[in-house]
Amino acid sequence: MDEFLSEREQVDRIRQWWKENGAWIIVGVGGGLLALAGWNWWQGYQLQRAEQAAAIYSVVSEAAMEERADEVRLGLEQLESGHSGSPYVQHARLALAGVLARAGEFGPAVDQLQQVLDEADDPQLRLVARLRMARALLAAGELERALEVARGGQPGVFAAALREIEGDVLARQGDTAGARAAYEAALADAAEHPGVIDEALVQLKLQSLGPAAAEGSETS
Amino acid sequence: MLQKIREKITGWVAWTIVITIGVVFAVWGIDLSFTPRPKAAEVNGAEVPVEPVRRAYQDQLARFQQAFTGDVPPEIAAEIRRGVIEQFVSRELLQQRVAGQGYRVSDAEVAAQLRSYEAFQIGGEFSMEAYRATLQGAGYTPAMFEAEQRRLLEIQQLQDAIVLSSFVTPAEVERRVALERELREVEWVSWPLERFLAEVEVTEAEVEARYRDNPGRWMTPESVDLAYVTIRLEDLAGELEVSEDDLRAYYESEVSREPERFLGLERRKAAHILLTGENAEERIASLRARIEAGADFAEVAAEASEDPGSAARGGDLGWVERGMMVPAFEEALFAMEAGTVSEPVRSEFGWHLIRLEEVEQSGGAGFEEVRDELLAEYRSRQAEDRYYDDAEALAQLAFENPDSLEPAAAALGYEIEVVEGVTRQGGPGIAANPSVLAAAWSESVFQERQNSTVIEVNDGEAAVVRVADYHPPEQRPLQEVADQIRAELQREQAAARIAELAAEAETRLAAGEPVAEVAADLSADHVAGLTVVRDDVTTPPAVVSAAFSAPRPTGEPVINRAQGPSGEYVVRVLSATPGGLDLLGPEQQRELRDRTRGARASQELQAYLDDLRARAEVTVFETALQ
Repeated sequence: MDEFLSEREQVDRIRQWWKENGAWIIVGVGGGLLALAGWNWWQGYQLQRAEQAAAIYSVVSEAAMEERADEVRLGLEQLESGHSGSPYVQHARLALAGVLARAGEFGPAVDQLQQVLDEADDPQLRLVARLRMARALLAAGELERALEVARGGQPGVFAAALREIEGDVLARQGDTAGARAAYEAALADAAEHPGVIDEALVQLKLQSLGPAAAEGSETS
Repeated sequence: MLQKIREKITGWVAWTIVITIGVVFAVWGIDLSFTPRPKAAEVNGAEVPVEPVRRAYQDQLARFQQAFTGDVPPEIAAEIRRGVIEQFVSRELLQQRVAGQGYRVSDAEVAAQLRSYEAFQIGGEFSMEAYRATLQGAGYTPAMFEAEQRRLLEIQQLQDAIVLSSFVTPAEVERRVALERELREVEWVSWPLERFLAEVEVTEAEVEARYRDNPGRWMTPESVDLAYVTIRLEDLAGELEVSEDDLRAYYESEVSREPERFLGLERRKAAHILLTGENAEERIASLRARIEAGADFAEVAAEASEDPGSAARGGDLGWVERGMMVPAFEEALFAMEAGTVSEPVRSEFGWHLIRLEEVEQSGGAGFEEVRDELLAEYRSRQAEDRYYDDAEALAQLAFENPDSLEPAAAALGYEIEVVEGVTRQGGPGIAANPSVLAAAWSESVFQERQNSTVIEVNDGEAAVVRVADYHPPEQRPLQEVADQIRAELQREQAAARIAELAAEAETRLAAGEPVAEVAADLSADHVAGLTVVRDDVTTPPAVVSAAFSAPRPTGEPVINRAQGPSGEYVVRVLSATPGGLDLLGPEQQRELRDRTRGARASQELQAYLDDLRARAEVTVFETALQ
């Protein structure tokens, strides 16, 4: 600060400065506090919303365990309309797909799984949906679509299970060589991640295709 | 004036800053730990602190140590370490997955979870005190712990969502049953090896040829002959000469060391008169004169004694043992004859007159009575002394003369003994002992041919060994191994004979001839009309494996050969029938479906977790745990 100014002048300067800038400072601090309060309120509101969604899902989950499809569907609709960004929407769709598939309604189950596959943020959950969708399509007899779903996406660790389904579809279509290749690929993938498929069963499926017909594949 | 305003302003500014910081803290909270903490892993940029991981690892390790009863091998410890870190990584990954995604577990659910933990319960009821105390012990605040529990419950919701929505299709269950419970109708011919062994003729020339052509087989193991000097406590005790004088001297020393054992316990019934203060010595002398003159001791004591405890009872002290009274008193008392009164005795309490009423002796034993006992004791003590002295001397001498046992044996008067044929696996006599065997093949004893250190062979037996001779492996003479070679050749030739028959059987069975005929022509056993399943336990395993490793017969039967441990089989698989769900009862069907669905759910969850891990950026610091 300027040493040559008298005390009075210094005080005057400070007063002057405050007159010019004080209002802005008050507005700034006040605005900041308001934003803070708003943010806090928003957080609380989000939490409350999440809790509501969780409560609906807990009813859905209960109903799904008892295979009451209508109740599950009702809950899912509530979640879809009121809590569209919530992960519970995807959970409820998986639950509904499970109930439907267990009741043999593979077509509607596929619709639910397709939505999870399209909308879920969780990439692994999308892969679970992909896997189940391929299975449900195979069960519904939509072999081409099943094959397309099983071969799509970035399967990662899910490759072993997806290859197994691919083998199942191909075997059903009568493509023995293709099925064999798919099962062998499944076993190779599973070797790195034990426990993701039933390897003994895949081995049996492979054996049931008969010995690799070396001559047959050469001539064909 | 200016100073004041300055103070005011700085005060005001300072407060604003303090309030702002306070708000920041209250709203977000700030991690004040700026120092870098050791971490077990880094998961997508977030740290997994090392301490909880280390604790979990040590718990696991302790459990394994119990199972191994000792040290866990380092490669298994490393495996455990990796496993524990992976668990924490997996948990961190799931926490990141659910954080900020809109998962929410209500306070009531968290509370219910807390109530369910046994650690927080007293008598089956949740207790707030137990809850706080347990948390404090584990270094948690309730807020931290509850936040963690909430996060875990959110993870649980995610896992449940996957597991509970799983399904298996009816076609899948049917296919599984069809494959796993497939039936195969088989018939077979077989040749037990045992039966053909007797028919095979092995000539001496063949045995010799086998012996000659394989010089590397039939070797004796390398072995050493061990020379050793051993000190046995038992022998030393037996050899010891004990003279009568030695024994007497030992008795005397033991009596003074432990008088009660030999002399028994003596106690004396006594009374006394105590005088203190001035002229006590003269006054007590006059009292003694009165008693000498015929006055009753008890009456005098009652009248004159200044020991308030005993005076009223006529000075009676009851039974007195050694060690109960002050030394001067005891000395006088135990030197008296019964029925007499002592001279005045001076103690730190004053002057006493003592009257000894009665002496009683109990227990104790004279020299002759304890002679045998003493002799055994004396022997074993002497022998032990000598054992340790000799062992020390042996160690010294064997070390100073590493190339021979002679000096040690000569100086101590021991024989050098020898045990022959000690292999690396073991040997007779002293070489059966693992410590001796290990010493015999150690570098210093085997390679450098030095004396071993003193080995504690057993309790009370010590030895020093050295290699007296080494026998390298050499070919065993033919007559020693001829039987073994003959048996081997017999088996081979029998198997070859069977293989010929089996090859013929294979052709004839493939041509459709009935098993009974083929078996009769080719001296085989046969079984027909049997249906087997994969997990059959009543059929020979070789047959089951041949039946199911054969391709599925389509119309034409399939022939397959299999070698069992006791013979060979040629199996004709006539037909294959897929397993049918209808063969299972409704209860079994439901059980199978549930089991398949459960397995499917855990496979899907496993894939979810593995894929999450595979796509994450994870660095593991395994060394942080060591």
